[in-house]
Parts: sequence; structure tokens; C-alpha cells
Amino acid sequence: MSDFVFCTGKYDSGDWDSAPSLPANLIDSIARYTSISVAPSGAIVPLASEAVLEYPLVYLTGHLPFRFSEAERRNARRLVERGGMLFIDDHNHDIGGVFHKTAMEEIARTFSQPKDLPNDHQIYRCFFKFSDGPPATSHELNGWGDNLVHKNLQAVMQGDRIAVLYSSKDYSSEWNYHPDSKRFSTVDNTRFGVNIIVYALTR
Amino acid sequence: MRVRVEHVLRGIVIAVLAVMLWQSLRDQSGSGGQSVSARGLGALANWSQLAKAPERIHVRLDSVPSPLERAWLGALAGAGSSVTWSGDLPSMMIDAQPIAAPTGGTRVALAAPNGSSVVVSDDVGVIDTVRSLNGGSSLALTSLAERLTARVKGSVASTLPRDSVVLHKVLVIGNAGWESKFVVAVLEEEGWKVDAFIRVAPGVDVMQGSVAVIDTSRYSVVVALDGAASPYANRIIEFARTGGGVVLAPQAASLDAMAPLRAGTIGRPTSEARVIQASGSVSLATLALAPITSLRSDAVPLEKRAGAVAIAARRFGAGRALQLGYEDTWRWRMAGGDGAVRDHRVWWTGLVSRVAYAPRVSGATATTASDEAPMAGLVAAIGPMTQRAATSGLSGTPPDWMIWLFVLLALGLVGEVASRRLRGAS
Amino acid sequence: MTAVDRVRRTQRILGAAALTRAVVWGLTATLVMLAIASFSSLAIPRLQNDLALYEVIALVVGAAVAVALLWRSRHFVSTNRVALWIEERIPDLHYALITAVEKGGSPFAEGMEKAVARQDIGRVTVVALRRGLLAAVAALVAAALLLYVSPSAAFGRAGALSRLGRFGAASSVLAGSRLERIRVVIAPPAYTGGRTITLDDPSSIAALTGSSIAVRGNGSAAGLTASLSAPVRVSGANGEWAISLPMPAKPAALTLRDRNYERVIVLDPRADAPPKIALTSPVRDTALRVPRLVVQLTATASDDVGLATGYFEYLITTGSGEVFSARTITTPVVNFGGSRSGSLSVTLNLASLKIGEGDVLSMRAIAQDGNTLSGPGVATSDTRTIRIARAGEYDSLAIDAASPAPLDSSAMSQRMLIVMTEQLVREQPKLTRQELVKRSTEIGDIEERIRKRVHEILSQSEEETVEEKPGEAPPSIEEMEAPEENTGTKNPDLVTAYNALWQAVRSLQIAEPAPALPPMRVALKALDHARLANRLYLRGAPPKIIVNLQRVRLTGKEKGSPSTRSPRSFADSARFRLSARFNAALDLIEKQPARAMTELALMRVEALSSLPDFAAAIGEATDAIRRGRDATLPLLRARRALDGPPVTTPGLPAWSGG
Repeated sequence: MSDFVFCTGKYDSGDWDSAPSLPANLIDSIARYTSISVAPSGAIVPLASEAVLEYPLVYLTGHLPFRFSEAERRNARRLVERGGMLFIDDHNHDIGGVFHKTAMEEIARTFSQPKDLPNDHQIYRCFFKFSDGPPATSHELNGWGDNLVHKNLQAVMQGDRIAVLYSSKDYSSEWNYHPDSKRFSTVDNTRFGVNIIVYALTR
Repeated sequence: MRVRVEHVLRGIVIAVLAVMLWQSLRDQSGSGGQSVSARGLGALANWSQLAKAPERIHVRLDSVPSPLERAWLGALAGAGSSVTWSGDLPSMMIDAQPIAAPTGGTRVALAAPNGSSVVVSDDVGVIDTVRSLNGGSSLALTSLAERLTARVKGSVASTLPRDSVVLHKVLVIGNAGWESKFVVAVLEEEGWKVDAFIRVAPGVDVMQGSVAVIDTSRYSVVVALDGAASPYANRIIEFARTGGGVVLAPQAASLDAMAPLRAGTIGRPTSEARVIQASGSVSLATLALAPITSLRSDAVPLEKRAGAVAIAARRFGAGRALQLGYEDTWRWRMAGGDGAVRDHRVWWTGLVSRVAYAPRVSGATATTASDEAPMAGLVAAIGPMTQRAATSGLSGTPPDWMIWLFVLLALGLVGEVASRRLRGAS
Repeated sequence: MTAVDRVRRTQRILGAAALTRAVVWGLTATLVMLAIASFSSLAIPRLQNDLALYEVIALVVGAAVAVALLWRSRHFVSTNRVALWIEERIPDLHYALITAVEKGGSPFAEGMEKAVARQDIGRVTVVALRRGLLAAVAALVAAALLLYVSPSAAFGRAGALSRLGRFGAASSVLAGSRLERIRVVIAPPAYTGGRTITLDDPSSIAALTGSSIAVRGNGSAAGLTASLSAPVRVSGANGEWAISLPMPAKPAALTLRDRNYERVIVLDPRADAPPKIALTSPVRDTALRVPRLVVQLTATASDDVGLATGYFEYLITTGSGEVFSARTITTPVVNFGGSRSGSLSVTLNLASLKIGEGDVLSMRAIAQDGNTLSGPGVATSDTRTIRIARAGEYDSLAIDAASPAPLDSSAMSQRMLIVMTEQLVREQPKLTRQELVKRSTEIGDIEERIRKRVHEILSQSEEETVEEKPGEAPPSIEEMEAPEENTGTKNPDLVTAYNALWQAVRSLQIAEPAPALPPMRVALKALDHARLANRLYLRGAPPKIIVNLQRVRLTGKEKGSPSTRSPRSFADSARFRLSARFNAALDLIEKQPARAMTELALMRVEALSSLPDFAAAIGEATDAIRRGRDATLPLLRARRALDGPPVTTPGLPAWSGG
């Protein structure tokens, strides 16, 4: 049985690689808290390539305009229709910003309009418990970007399953550090990332 | 002179007709005619009404008689006649069993001579035409209307599937990963009720249903994917012994605790799953395979790839165990071609239904009888085929003689009429 | 009765017999053709749709056979031929009849008459005609029988070949109901500009969502009800009832009821698809050092109904690190006027956008259709991106090939000029001085234009422009300010090209083509190099961190909690349900055909969007049933579409489990 490989999706229109340390950080968290068989480094896979279909969970982020090419859109749809999941995070933390606007438009165009995910959804209790919904990020609390603390994540559902999870909370900034730096924190702020991965692997 | 010849020909025709008439009258009266023969079964009623049962009856069959006709022939044999038959009739058999799957369906087994084309139909119309290889063929039908019929030349077999099966849940045990996620998903998408035990961390599991009791009153099949099944190995083995079905993925099969259930040893992987084939899709042909080697004597290889056994099954106690060699089948669903999602689902359902504990429930009694093996019924009624009547000692009118007589009749008639026409007479 | 009278009588009889035989054989041929078409429709179902055509063909064939037979009997118009015909059949006449007919006034006429009177011409005639007529009548009866047993709708039978077709004679819409022979008028939405369509007695109505549908039938409206998801008003006037409704957005069943009669009409909506638009130029993304580029943007759009407007949108993002801002600019809207295809074209000068280092320009085309009902459908094309590199990123940007630069045409022209000059050098010994000067200066003039173009490009990259004074030899770049004093960045290849071109022009303009060739070649090489050099950048890769899994495995201080999973739903439940309903409907077809028709129509509605093949086959089946034709084939196709083909495995399985 093959390992779980954390996949960062590479898309043409923007800075897809704006959080290069995030994959290693989440891989470290998965190893710390679970017995899931995980690959020690992540993979970067072009969304336009059919190779992306071998990674049922794909992480996308950026600051710049988020636009799918035809091939990227086709693969994103196929990935989701076959049971995969996209996790898209706005690295600007700005709902007035260009990434959020274009990403929302692209998600609506490719799948359907994302809706607020209720804060009692099982993704918030599938491993660690987050009784108030998505945990706030330090950028949010420091008034970064749109100066809002976003209460909900957004999602496109397939049946009762999350197919596309969209975050305006800038987890890309929150988790974009070397995993060894965790030792300096009293609370591990990557725990919600573990929930996302466990949810994707078990639901 | 010519007119005389015509008269002679006319006389020959009349004489031949008289002989034929005399022959038929003689046969009907049965006077000393202890041997009767006919093509087809139209004479059954006549034979049955004879004052004295013929000593020998031979029928030349173009098609297999219906059950009623077979019974009639058997009755004639029971009345004292020696009934024999001949004919070029293919043997065939049809059997239909319900498929143990939530979507139902019928699995049809056909036995027919090699290379023959069997037309399978039901009350609506033709379903398919299949070619018999290695003695037969099998079909899986999603639905069918009433009677199922198979035809090969003059043989028609029919059956009326009425039984259904009782299905329980499937239990899937595995570590958190893509394979456990997608195995549970495909079984549920195909309509199975699934209980799941997915291990995420020590003491942290994702549960669906309960694993407290594993027996045939709750489950039809247990699917063990990997080491997460180790703590339940004894219960799974007992489940199989008492009739349950077990599917072992390669990692689960490699557990020592699962050794009693194995169909064979897990060999070294023969190929790695390539990320994407040249054609751009993953299929069964490119999945990673740990071949099953050193098969047990009672194991049946169900599927092979390039000579290596990919799937094998065996009976274990009252139950059945199926061992997989394919790894990471989820790749087929995710990165396969168009239709891969459905194909993967159907494939997994097929695996599970092959071993599922599914007690049969008999349906309503059919108002019309089925005839699954007509040839066998014929042989049971009046014995196997015999050679032609002449070699079997019957003294009935030989066919050759009749044929020559008919040729003479025809030549005489044609000659007489042609001669008259040619000389201008009306 | 004289001999002539007898002949004429016989002639009339023969004529009538010939006519009768021709008509009977013609009818026979027609019936046989119809039977052939009917039997053929079993194998070729589409023949049933062209029944009227085949009826016409059969009639034509029958008429042709009749005419042919009549033509063969044409000689009976001659009394002499009739007389000969009689003579042939009564040899005892010994040509008395023909002689009597031809030589009526001869002295032997009386004797001839007597000889003729002795013969029973009438009986002979009848006997001679009987066989032919009997054969014709027998053939007609056989053809009629053949047609009767065929699957055709002739005689109101659906054919003996299928018990499923037998009920067709009893139409599901019984005579006497007001639901027979309805007419449907479909008016598409006004914005489409489409024309009204009328359908006669359809079992389904396919039209654009929002189309106005009017259903009309004969009879009063009293007691007639119609319902969709809610009751629909039925109005009546002038002996007709009518229903008006808009085509809904989803497939639906319009149920009409007249006393005990019921009829279901399937409403099959076609959505107005959004337009399609593709950005055809530029063809790929680009990274530039300086925002100096003229980009030709073109896009092609199409729509199933009609395009309304289109425009280009530029999204300019500025920023770096974590701080970004964006602005959007749109070009003037182009009106397509409802045509189904169109194109957009605009020239964008990057300089006009005032973008700088680090900025990203995203360009795309947008089109809208004219759907005024559910809102205009909007299409957006792929995005093309132009990045302006920062100075510090020149060695660390991605390799991207940009769109062709303005220098491309210079390189091609320079190549051509070299070829022309080489040819001139070869021909020089044969040319007069006048010709040499003329051709050399012509080449020189073109070379001069290239030189000026290179000078313009060089000037654009300089903060100071160098103006050429008329009459003065244009300064070479070396004669300008020293490179280290320039604030901009000079392209050395362009500088080389400029200087070489200047030398080439000088040689050509004094009619010395041979010395011009070496600098022309140098200029070509430099221009080629400059064309490629402008657009090459290298991008760095993000750092790769490998986690030491063994070291960190299960060292987390916090523990997760068990959780429960909820099951997924049955994916093909719709197909499964339809399959069960379909089998139940098949059982109903013989016992309750009207109810079976309703059930099939409702299944068709349900399957229109999810199982279109099944829906189409059901539609054919219900049409065939309503028209009294054999529905076996479409029903088999429907079942195959629903269940898929049977899965066949060669050989008998070794494992009987399952």
C-alpha cells in the first residue's frame, strides 16, 4: 500500500509556490499525531497534467489571479468527480483581493458556487476537536489583509462530502514555516491541517 | 410410339403411387409392422393409438423434443416399445443464479458445444448472442423478464429464475489511506451497506457501525486491507469458517494471523504502478501486483496477469476467502480512463459477491416448468442417440428406397408431361 | 350475330380481362412492396418513419406493373388480332373467322359465317382467360395475406411477430377522447428571433426553456384537465380546447385527462447554453524585462442561439511578498447583434497601462449571449499573463517564450536582403553600371529602413532619444553617450546590428554590393540573437524539506479523538429505480397498455437529463405504440441503454461463488 503524498498543485496563472514550507510542516504534523503512512516530502504536480489524478488531495494557494486553463479545469473537475478533494487557501487573506475574487469565480465556473461550511461539520471533529469551527490564524488576529476574522470556510459539496474546501483565513501563511520551528510553539497551529488530511483520507 | 412411351411412363407413375399408398396403409394397420420410424414427432399420436404397440420406434429428430414430447416418448417406451432416436442435436444447458449484490442481477451459465453460437433471450426479446468457448460461456444480466431461453441450432433450453438472496453488510477494516477510503466508497456507491473500521492513530479510529461482533447474522463479507485487521484476525477466521466471505488485500494476506485464509503466498511485486500510462490512464493491467504464488491445492485462480495469479479464492470451512494481488486499486478509479469509476465499482462488487454469504430465498413457484437441460432430459427418457434404423436392426422402410421411389415417380411424371408438351398435345 | 360481331364481343371480353388482370397484378405488386417494407422495418427501424414514402413507392411500382401488362395486351385493340387469337384456340375454324372479318363482302362470306357460327367462341374465350385471371387473383390473395402477417400497421394490426406489438391496435388514446390528434405550437423566446413551429400529435415536446407552448385539441374544454407540477388552465373556443404554458427549466410530464382517458406529453427543455469564447492571440504567457510590447489580442466566440456582447478584460496586479493590489480595465464593449459567431480584436500597448517591474498583467476575453429570460450566459476565455520581471530577478525567473517581438520581421527582411545582394553580386559582371546602381540603391533603401527600425527600438530603451538631423550621417551608437553614462540598459546585440547595418547601407548606396555582404551577415546574426535574448529568464525552485518521519512519529503531545463516518449514498440509485419501474411497465404493457404508456412517459421525463439514451429509446417505443407499430426493438434498446450490455465471460467459470 502506497504512502499518502501531500500534493501542491501547480497552476499557470499565479504564484502557486508561495508557501513552499507548508507541505513539509503538515507532513510532520501527520507523522506526529497519526500512524498514517505518509511520504517524507511532498509532490508538486501541474494541475494541467493528468498525473494530478494520482493525488486525491491537492493543495492550491497564491496571491495573484487564480485562473484555470482548460486543461487545469478539466483535471480539477475529474479529480473531484472521482472522489478527490481540493483545498484552496487565499494567501492574501483578503476577500477584496484579486486571488479571492478570481478564485471564487473560477470555483463557481468549474464546479458550483461555494457555500459557507457549517462550523459543526465533521471536518472540525474528525481528529482534533474544533468546537468553534475553523481556527483563526495569526494574520487574521493581527488585522492582516481584509482585517476580518472569517468565521466560516467555504465548500463545494458532492453529496454530503466536501469536494472543494476554500479558506480565506490564510492558513498558507500560518503553516508556511520549517517544521522544526514547532518546538518554539506551545500550541501547534497545524492541527487543523491534520483534520483536513484525515477528513480527505477517511470520508 | 411416343404416345406408347407416354402411356408407359404414366403407368409407372400410377404404379409407384399405388406402392406408396399400399406401404402407408400397411404401416397404419400395423400388421406385423413392429418397427416404425418417422422424422419428427408428428406421428406420436398415431403410434399411441395403434392397436398393438410397435416393437420398435425410431425417431429422427431435427430439434430436441419438448418436455411433453419427451415424456410421451418415455411413455411409449414404458408401454413396451423400444424407442430410439437419432439426429444432429447439440447438447446444451442453461443455469441462472441470482447475483449476490445489492443491485441484483442474474448470472447465467451456458454449456454448449465449442464454437457454437448461443442466442440468449427472454420474454422481451433477444438479449445477446454468445460464442461457446471451452464448453460454455457465462453472462451477467442486470435484469431479465420472466423466462430465460438459450438456443443453439435445434436445442432450446429455458429456465425461470425466481430465487433471490439475502444480503447483509460488508465490514471493511484498514488503516487510513486512499485504498480504505475508496474501497468503502465504491461499495457504498454500489449499494452495499458498509461498516468500517479505519485506524488513524493508536486508539483513534474512524468508525462506521460497530465491530463488536463479526458473524454471518450481521455481515456477508469482511474486507481486510492491511495490518489494521490483525487484532481481528481470529474473529475473521471464525467468521469465514461459519460461512462468511473474506476478501484479503495483499498487506492483510501477508499477516501471519491471516495465514489460514490465504489462497497462496504473496510474491514479490512484478511491476510498479506507473503514474500515468502512455495512453494516459491506469487500468488493471498497470496496477501494482504482488502475485499470488504457491497456491494451495484447493485454491482456484480467478484472474491472471501475464501468467501471474492476481486473484485466487478458496473455500474455508463453510465460507470462502478471496485473496487479491493488486495493490492500490484506488489508482484505477482516480487515474483510469472514462468509465473507470464505474468499472472499479463493478469490479469490487464482483469480488465481494464472489465470496459473500448470501442465503438463498426461493421465489414463487413457477406456473410453467423450465427445461434447463433438454438433451439430458431426452437421454434420461429414452436413452442416448442411436445410429440409423438400418444399422440398429429395424426392418422399417429404408429411406434410400423411398428416395429412389420418389425419384422414379418424379422422372416419370416430368417425362410424360414434357413429352406431351413437346409434341403439342394438351 | 355475324363473325365481326363475335370478334368484337370477344375483343371486349379480352379487353376487360386484360384490364382486370393488369389491375389485379398491379395491386399485388403494391401489396408485396408494402409487405417487403414492413418486414424490412424490423431490421431497419427508421423505415417506419418514412412509411408515407414507401407507400408512394409501392403505388408507383403497382401502377408500373399494371401499365406494363396493359401494354403487353395492346394488340387486342385490333379486330384482326382478336380474330387470329380466336383462330389459334379453335383450329377447326380453319381461318374462316379471319377471312369472314377481312373479306366480308366475298361470295364465300355466308359459308364462312356458318362455319364460325358452329363454334362456341365465347366458351373458348372464357376457358382461355380463366387460368390467367385465377392466377392473378390467387397472387393478390397471397400478397394480401403476406401484408396481413407483416408487422405493418396495415389493417390495424401491429404484426404477429411480437406479442408486445399486438396491443398497438388498441391505441392507448381511445377513440372518442378529446386527447387524440392534438396540435402543439411552439414559439421560442423573443430574444432568439426564432420562428414558430407546429407539431402534430407529438408524444414529446423539445424546445428552449422559456418557449411558449400552446397545446390544442378538438372538442370543448369542459371536463378536460391538465397538470404539470400544478394544474394548468384549459380554455376553449370555437370547438377547440387549448392550453398555454411556458417550457419549464427541467423535464416534466404534462398530464392531460379527459374523463377516463389520460395522455402524458413529455416536456423536454433545452437550456440556452452559455456562449463559448477562446483567446486565440496571444498564444502563451510571457515574461518581459520592460513593459514595452504591443500585443495583438484576438478572440473568437460562438453561441447556440445568439451572441450579444464581448470585450477584453485586463487585470493588473502589483505587489510582492505579501502585499498585492489589483486594478481591472475593460475594453469597449463590442455588440455582436445576435449572430451565432463573432470575433474580438484589439491592440494593446503595454506602455499605456503604466505597469512596472514586478507587475502581472492578466488578459482574457468575455462574451455574453442574449438570453433575457434566465439572464445572459457569460463565457470567459483562458487567461494569458504577462509578467514584468524585477531587476533582481533577471537570473531567477522561469523560462518562458514570449510572443514574437517586432524584430522578427527585421530578421526575415534582412535574410531576404542578403539573398538579393548575393544574387546581385553574381549578376554584376553582366549588368550595366546604370542597372547596378539602380538595384544596389534599392536594396540599400530597404536596408536603411531596417536600420531606422533598429534605431527606434534602441531609442525606446534609452531615456534619451537621439534625433537624426537631416543630411547628416546618422550617428552610430558609439558616437552617442558612452554606455556607462546611459541610465537605461542597451542591448549589445542591437547595437552590433545597428552599426553593421550602417556599414552595409553605405556600401549599397555607392553601388558596391560585395563589400556590403559581410556587415549584412553580421547584422542578421545580431538581430537573431537579440530576438531570442530578450525573453529568457530563469526561475528558482522552492526549497525542499524532507521530514524525518522516524524521529517525529507519534511524538505529538496532543491526541486526536475517534470519530464516526456517515455512509455514502447509492450512486446509481436512479438507474436502479428506473430499471425496476421499467420491468414493471413491461409487465403492464399487455394487461393495461394505457397505464403502461403513462408510466413509460413519466420514466422518460425522469431519465431525460441523466440517461438520455434510455429516454430516447423510450420515446421511440411510446411513439411506436401510439401509432400501432411494433415496439419490440425500441423497448429492447431502452433496456440495453438502462442495464448496459450483458457482461459475457467465455468459458464456464471455475468459481461458482456469487
